[in-house]
Amino acid sequence: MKPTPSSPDTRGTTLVNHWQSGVPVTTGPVLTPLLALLMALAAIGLILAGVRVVSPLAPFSSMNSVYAWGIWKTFNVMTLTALGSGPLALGMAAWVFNRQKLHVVMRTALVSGFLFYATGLIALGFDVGRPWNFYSAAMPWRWNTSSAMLEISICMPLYCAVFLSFEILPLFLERLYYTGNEKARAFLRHVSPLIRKIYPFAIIGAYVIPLMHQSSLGGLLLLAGDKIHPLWQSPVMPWLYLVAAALCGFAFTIFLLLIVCLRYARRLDGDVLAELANLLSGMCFLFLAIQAIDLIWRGQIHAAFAFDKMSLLFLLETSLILTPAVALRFRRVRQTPRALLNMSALACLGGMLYRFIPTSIAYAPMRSTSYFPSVPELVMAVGYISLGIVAFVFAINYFAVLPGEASTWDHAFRPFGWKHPTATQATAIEREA
Amino acid sequence: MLDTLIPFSKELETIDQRLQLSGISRRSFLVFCTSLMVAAPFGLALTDKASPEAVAAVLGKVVRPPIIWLHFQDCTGCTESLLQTSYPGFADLILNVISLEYHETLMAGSGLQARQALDEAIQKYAGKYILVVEGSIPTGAHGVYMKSGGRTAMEVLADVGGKAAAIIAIGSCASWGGIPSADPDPTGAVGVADLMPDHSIINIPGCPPNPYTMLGVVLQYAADGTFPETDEQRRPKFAFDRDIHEHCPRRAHFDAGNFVKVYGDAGHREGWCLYEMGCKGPDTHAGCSTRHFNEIPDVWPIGIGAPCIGCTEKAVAFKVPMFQVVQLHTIAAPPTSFAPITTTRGTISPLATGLVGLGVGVLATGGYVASRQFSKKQDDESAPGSRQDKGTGA
Ligand code: SF4
Ligand code: SF4
Repeated sequence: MKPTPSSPDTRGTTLVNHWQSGVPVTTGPVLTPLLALLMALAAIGLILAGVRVVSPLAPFSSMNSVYAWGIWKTFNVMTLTALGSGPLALGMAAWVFNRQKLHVVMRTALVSGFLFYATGLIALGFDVGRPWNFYSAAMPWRWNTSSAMLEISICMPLYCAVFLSFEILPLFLERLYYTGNEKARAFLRHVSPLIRKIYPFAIIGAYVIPLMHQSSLGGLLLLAGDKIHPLWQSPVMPWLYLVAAALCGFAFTIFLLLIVCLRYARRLDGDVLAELANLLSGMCFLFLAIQAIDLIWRGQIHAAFAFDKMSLLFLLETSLILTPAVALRFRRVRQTPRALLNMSALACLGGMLYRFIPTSIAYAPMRSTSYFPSVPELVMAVGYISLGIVAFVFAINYFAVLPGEASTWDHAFRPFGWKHPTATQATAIEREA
Repeated sequence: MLDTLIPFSKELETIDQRLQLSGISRRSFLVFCTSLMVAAPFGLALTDKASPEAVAAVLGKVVRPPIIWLHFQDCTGCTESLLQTSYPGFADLILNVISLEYHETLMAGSGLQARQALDEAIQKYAGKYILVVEGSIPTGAHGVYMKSGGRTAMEVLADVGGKAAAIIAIGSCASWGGIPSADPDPTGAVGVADLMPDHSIINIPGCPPNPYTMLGVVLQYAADGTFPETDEQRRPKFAFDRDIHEHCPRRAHFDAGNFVKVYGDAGHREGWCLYEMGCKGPDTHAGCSTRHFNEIPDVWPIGIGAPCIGCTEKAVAFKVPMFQVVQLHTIAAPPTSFAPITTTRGTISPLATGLVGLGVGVLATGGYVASRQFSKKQDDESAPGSRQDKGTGA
């Protein structure tokens, strides 16, 4: 099949196509029974969260004096922000390592990443025990600069509310351009060159800041010392947390693209997916290499094969990452949607397990009692996730998020006048024809 | 005759020479330097060194500063805090590091002898000595409330203070009136700076203040003739830049809402926060919470279970009732009642485990179904999601 010809970048007068382009979902009703169910779950979760603000933690969660980190922190934040690292991982590949093909799926990654972070932050907000002191976080002179938690508590909201928000701003501007009145359009025509100019500089933060807080999440666990099982507790934990974030970011973006294409009957672009799969496999190998070297260096490799509960868990986690790493080396696997879906799901699970286990299952304080989330706690956690999904569905229906509908997603994107070799070729072909 | 009564008052030696002369061990001098570093961790050039040895090296070459110490309306608590050190002989060391030329509590002489000693010291070190003032100066009824050697306190201060290189007002009384100036203030008590506003004056308020703050200021002056940076109330910043509450060891209890309600209650015995007992810590700038007294850890009011009374603040101590709860300016007030946060045992509800199991099951099934759909559609050439038309050769 002839690929969709790419046009030269002459559309400089409007906002469209200056950033990662996309096509909204136009088929079918937005409100399906499944979505209604998710909305109900989100509503119940938020109502419970509201009650939680005026009630003590006790009836709501099974958090206790030994396990002060409940499922909201360990799952909604620690684990799910790894899945939400798609913008970081893809953006790094696309902007820094110049894999321009990936720009076409950036928006999908951006919106999902933003929602993971936002719902994680909402979860954290309702987890705060003394909310009336919270406003101090906005006053730098009150910061305790020697606290490891400070980096995360400042960085995460900053990333989500400023940098990610700025990166997805074009979505809103575009929509405004198409639905707004003449005045709005004139205004946008006026400001869009400015935004285009500052865009690459303004989003630098979007790639620096998550590097910091994703590794700091691992850094925090260093402080837990020997409460965490030696298979996980390691000085390279900040690195592994960061690599696991990138791994999950790629894996989840592939997974999400496949699922939405299936759901909305869209065609898949094999090139883009294969590129992502390659990167994912590389990340998996990087992760495993760091982990293996670290285990050997710390002399803990025997613990991995002790075949007790922890070692089995570790082996499960490792095989969940190893399987896609190896499988995705094969072209056949990369090019079969079902296999790709399965492998990306496995990688997601593996990465999530790595991020989850040290904070919960492998976390055993001395004065031990147990922790298992209570029902309201679970409902709230599920509610936050449902909220994210609902928001995502609305986003892809009303904004140009998903990549194009043809089997070659629009590769014509050339950010800021960079030369795109395939684009020039394509126009040449077109002219000849 | 006088010379025998006030020993060692001939020529001023350096601190090293003096310590050798009086047989004080190097070790106790290093302990002294360490205490000085603890008292002034930042902001004092003298202690801005890597080790006590480095401080000792600088300090050893310093010529002992001559000091004249005057008492006005006071309780001598400030002097006591200087001399009641926990190591025997430490007060001795302090008195050898500085050259105390005149001190009414410590000197053996009295009456005429004392007056002569004062006059002699003033004459000998005119323009060079440091005057330390303890106690407030009564100004009511032309100063008749206090007389010494036939002169009113105001006259003594004008005379001795006028010829001093600098004045250190030690204690809250000398800084701005202290206890004697509390309502109804019959004597019209004021601080030194109120009477000689243009003089070089450093206030070291406190009731009593930490003696190392005073020693730090004096020795810094002796070493290079400078005074440390002060705030608008003339307090040296190195000791008065933070508030008590900021570094209070009971702060965690404040934030957790654990308050003492009555002296001796369970919370008091547990060492909870004294905010509701009228602790002025949140309003008081001083170093007590990190620099304790008598070289003994935890020897300071809050450490022994008494609320801070705000003695280093002009507007707080002796002006605001001792047990009145303080207004919080820089932080949010904690609510009067707190939800309990202490749960010592975790519980596992069977319903929750069931729900998690159910959720995992639903997700796994959903994943499987989605995956199946792909292969189905893959076989169906025209279906979306199909990759057949790409001719990948797979
Ligand atoms: S400031 Fe306090 S300790 Fe010092 S003399 Fe006055 S009342 Fe006594
Ligand atoms: S109110 Fe007083 S006792 Fe309580 S934390 Fe503050 S300074 Fe310490």
